[in-house]
Amino acid sequence: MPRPPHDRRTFITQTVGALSGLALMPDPSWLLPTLRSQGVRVAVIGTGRQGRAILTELQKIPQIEVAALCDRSAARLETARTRARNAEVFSEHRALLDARPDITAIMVATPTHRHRAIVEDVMAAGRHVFCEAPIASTVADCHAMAAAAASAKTVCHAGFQGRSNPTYRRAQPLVRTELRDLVSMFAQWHRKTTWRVPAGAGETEQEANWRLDPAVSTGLAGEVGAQQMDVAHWCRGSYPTRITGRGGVRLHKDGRTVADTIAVDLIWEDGIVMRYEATLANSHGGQFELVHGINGSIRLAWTHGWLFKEADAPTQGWEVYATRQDVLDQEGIVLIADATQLAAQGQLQSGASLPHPSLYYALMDFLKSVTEGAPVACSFQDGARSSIVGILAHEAVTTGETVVVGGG
Amino acid sequence: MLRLATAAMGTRFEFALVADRDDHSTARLRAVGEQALEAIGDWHRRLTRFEPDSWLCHLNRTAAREPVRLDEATFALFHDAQEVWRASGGAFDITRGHGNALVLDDTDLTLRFLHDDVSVDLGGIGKGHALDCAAECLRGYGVTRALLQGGTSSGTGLGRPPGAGGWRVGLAPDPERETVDLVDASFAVSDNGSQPDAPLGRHIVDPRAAMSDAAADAPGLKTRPPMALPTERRRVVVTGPSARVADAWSTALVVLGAVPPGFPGAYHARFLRSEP
Repeated sequence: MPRPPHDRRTFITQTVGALSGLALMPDPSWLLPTLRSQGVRVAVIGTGRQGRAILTELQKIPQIEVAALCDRSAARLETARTRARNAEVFSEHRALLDARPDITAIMVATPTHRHRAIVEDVMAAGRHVFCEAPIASTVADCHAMAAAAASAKTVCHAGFQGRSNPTYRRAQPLVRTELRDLVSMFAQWHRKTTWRVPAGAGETEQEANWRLDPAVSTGLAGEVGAQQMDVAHWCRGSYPTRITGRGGVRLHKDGRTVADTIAVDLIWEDGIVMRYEATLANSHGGQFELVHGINGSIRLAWTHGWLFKEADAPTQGWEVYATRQDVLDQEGIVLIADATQLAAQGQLQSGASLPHPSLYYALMDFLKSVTEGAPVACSFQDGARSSIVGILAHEAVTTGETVVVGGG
Repeated sequence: MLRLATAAMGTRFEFALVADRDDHSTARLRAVGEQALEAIGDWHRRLTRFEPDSWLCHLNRTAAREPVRLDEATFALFHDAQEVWRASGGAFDITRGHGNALVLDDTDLTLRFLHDDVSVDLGGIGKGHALDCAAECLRGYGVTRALLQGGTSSGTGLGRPPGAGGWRVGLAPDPERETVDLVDASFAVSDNGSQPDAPLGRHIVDPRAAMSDAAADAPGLKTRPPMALPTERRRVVVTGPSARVADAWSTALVVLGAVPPGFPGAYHARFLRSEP
């Protein structure tokens, strides 16, 4: 029995931003972007694993000063402070906003279900905000945050990293121009880990392990899948209309009810299906996305990307100068901006990958929007839609029922 | 005993954890162990020179042009590397192109290169550093008895295993022939003949042999070191508080062939039989 539709009007009538305008030979500055402004003061709220990853990337940007850190856990703050030794520390985000009006941009990397309250306070305080993906754990929160962002006068950036990743930006227009008609899509996230973290001082096991708490978790589909599903939404310029899913606890039988292994089908109105698989029980293959079209396939793996042409597909002029690699016993065209120039500089090593992780490019896009007025790479509206797809995919896994997305 | 493992830095890291507190349920102990494994993975992603998106590759691209900011742990790693370089007369050197051609600023926690053609390769000291950070992570969560090893050539023992005086590590195929016992200590073994396919059959080379005359006279080196490549096979084990310092010194001692006066007092070195 199909589940009720979810907000058809706002969901199905809006599509991802314009797909045109990206050249096949993109600007090499995508790979090694720089900021023109100096002395930009930022804060990071939430200093767990993702917050620390953000700090690592911010350290590389000399124009950025991490002026404040905020977390409920003193232990996490202490660890994070080793990456931002001059930062003032706070245990409550409102205290940070009140005490440091000089901080203009704030990165929010708390547990997903805490995003909304913090992000809305940050917006109300007139600060620019970068919110980790998914932006919220409920459909209602996603809509509320998108609405708040629409009326905010500051930059509101949702942290879906594919849209900032130079390899993905190179690939996105090719999905339409090179692959032509789509056949199917596939994505996976495989990692062997319990997903369980030990509670720190002053924190309960339930609080620390919010991703395993069925009351607030969006499961593998929401917490990691939404990032990869967003790639499909962005490449297609549209969203699925139905979602089916299934899952279970295959390995970590420690009393948890949130599935450690899932399989989800995102089904578009034209019948195209994206199969998404994620597991905490096996690491083979890691994380990647595959887009199959009648003229070829594109394989994306966050720091790498390749185009595999069908033998009968027409050859384009730009392919003559493309870098090629043997991948999985097939010759692939490396999807990296200006690969030839990078190879000449000795910067294309071991598989022609990017010089920075995706997170760095997402943060740079945000900071360029803040300091230079650059267009927002991923708006809260787009972020809300992909977060909702992840949330509904988790619902499909949990209930075993088909969830209709804007189909009523 | 709970065993966990991960692949990182081109090798395998393995932990054996002993539950030694009542509230250390297996699930919590595994979660703690995974945090320590995560630390290993984090340092792998930051310190590998084989992935262009690593922090180390960012450093190598940038530090000749402008100072690069370091976190406290990375600063400590480079500080220790410089100390071993000085005390070993340049026999251990993480830089390529020029001897120790980098400047650490302990006020701003920055690092810069003195020449355009300098790059850093952290090799074994990076592996030891990851082990040190993983051990610190375990201690932080109250784990007091564990053995951590990386690639079987470096490791750290926390406390003692149940019913034994220390964590016994075999250094030869016959586990009773050459051993070290670890109690809250680390070890590192270097063997310049362990990779026979390497140039000259020796994968550890004397960094001083590749230095220019100017670099060999760099400030901090009291005497100009000899420029000969070690030709005989050497195997060394170093034990002491830090795996990264032990790793750096074991490499230096393979090059030097003898323990120099500047060898730190908190560490112990032993040359092993050349054929294991």
